[in-house]
Amino acid sequence: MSGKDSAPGIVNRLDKLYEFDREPVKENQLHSGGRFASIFAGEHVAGTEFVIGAFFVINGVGAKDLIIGLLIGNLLAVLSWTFLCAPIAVQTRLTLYWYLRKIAGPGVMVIYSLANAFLFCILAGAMISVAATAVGIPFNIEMPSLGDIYPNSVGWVLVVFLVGAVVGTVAVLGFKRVSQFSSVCVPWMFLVFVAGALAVLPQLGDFKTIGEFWEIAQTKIWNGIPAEGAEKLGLWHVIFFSWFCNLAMHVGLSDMALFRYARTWRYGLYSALGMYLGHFLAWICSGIMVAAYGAKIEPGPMAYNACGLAGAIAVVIAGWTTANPTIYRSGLALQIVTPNWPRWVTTIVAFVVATIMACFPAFVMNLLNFVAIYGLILMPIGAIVVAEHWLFPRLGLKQYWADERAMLFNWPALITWFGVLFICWLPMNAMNIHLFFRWLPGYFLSLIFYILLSMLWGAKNTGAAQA
Amino acid sequence: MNQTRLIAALLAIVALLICVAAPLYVFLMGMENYEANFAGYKVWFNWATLLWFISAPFWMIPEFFQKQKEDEE
Repeated sequence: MSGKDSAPGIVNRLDKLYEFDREPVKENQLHSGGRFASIFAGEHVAGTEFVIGAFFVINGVGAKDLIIGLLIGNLLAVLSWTFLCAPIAVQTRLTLYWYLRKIAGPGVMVIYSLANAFLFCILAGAMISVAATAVGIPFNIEMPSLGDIYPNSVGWVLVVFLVGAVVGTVAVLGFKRVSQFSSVCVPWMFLVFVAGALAVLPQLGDFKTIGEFWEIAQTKIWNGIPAEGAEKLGLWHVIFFSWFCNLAMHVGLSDMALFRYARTWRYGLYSALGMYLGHFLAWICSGIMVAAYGAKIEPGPMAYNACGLAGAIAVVIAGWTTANPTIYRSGLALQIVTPNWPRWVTTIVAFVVATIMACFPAFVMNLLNFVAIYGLILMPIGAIVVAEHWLFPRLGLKQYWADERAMLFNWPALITWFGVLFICWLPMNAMNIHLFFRWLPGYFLSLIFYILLSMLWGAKNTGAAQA
Repeated sequence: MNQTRLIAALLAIVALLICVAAPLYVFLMGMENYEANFAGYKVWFNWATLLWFISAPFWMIPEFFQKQKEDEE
């Protein structure tokens, strides 16, 4: 199976979809650092923050573990953007799509896009669930609880479908205006987190000094006792979670699409704004809000309790603005595997799938695990690109050998991807390695497997035609 | 920056300041008259939110109100 000319229609359609960014970014198209600062600050104060910060309280993380864990984990995330993703993006000036296509072949790229589309649907579904918890407040809908897997009431399903229909309709019409609108929400949204936390803090206890506040934090907020049915998480879980929360973006390299516009790889450091405003401060604030609310994963009522109507609106907007582009991208990815279906049809398919998933609280109530699985599935792709980009020249292997041979599937890449996922699933499960910790050994295994398999496949000897 | 946008910017900044000041007041007052302070803060915060969404789009995304030739692709 080889030959660019014989590439099936599915690949041609996918290429056409991304045609506009096929060429490397030119010098005069580069953006200033300020733009990266605002993008990162905006992207990481989103709907998920209402849930993730609350989960740390529910999962019995101690106050000291939380602070130290978030400081270290977010630092590791910033370093991953700065030393992995940004340098490759700046050197190639390409999106991951085109660079991976060159390295792993168009066939692998199609599989990657479909996996991404499916994961996007689940993420959008979780966001619709989050928004539905706020929309359900005036209807007095019974909210799903932590252990719920299936929808718990007809009212919940109706509200989810209402929210899903609105999100899906806007996605079908195009989301450009929504993304413009969401940029307006960012400063206010951040203040919703801070205001909610500040205003409910006195409910947890009176304090005058930092020492007294720390006492309240350790006993009333992050007291180290998990809620019934919740798993106990500790320092290492927090470190790893905050590191891999955006794994697909930094280690998985999908933010190459962003950093290809950077003047220097040092712009990766701007990710610290997103991490320490969103994944540090906003998570801490939502933890305080959920402690005052009563340690339940009900983001809408929780924000309503802390900020009134504005809080509920914030949850709806946060869920909506996150779900909308996600469904749109999912629809685009699905478009390539359908027989010339128009984009509006594939977007409807994506939002119907996302809405059905949103009815099942299992997804939003297991958001931490889903985030871990999302990163884990896409992580080997980042390792494959890093191996080919940096390690191949140092090992005397030929870069872009699969492209040179016009391979539709770079089999070492495909075998590495699925092989490592299999190892991270069954053997690591048997060894009782926690889901949060599996990606790191998986990453190094991916590097080793890909290099060894490429050597076996003849990456050293590019003269011979092999596919 | 034209006059409309300037006024919008000023109003938006005032809205943000209220969003900061109202909860800060509740926090600093502690348990003293907490229920009344907390209820008052929510009212202030809601009005500030309304003011923000009326003014900030004119300041931050003036192109949002311009006629769009093609919305998406």
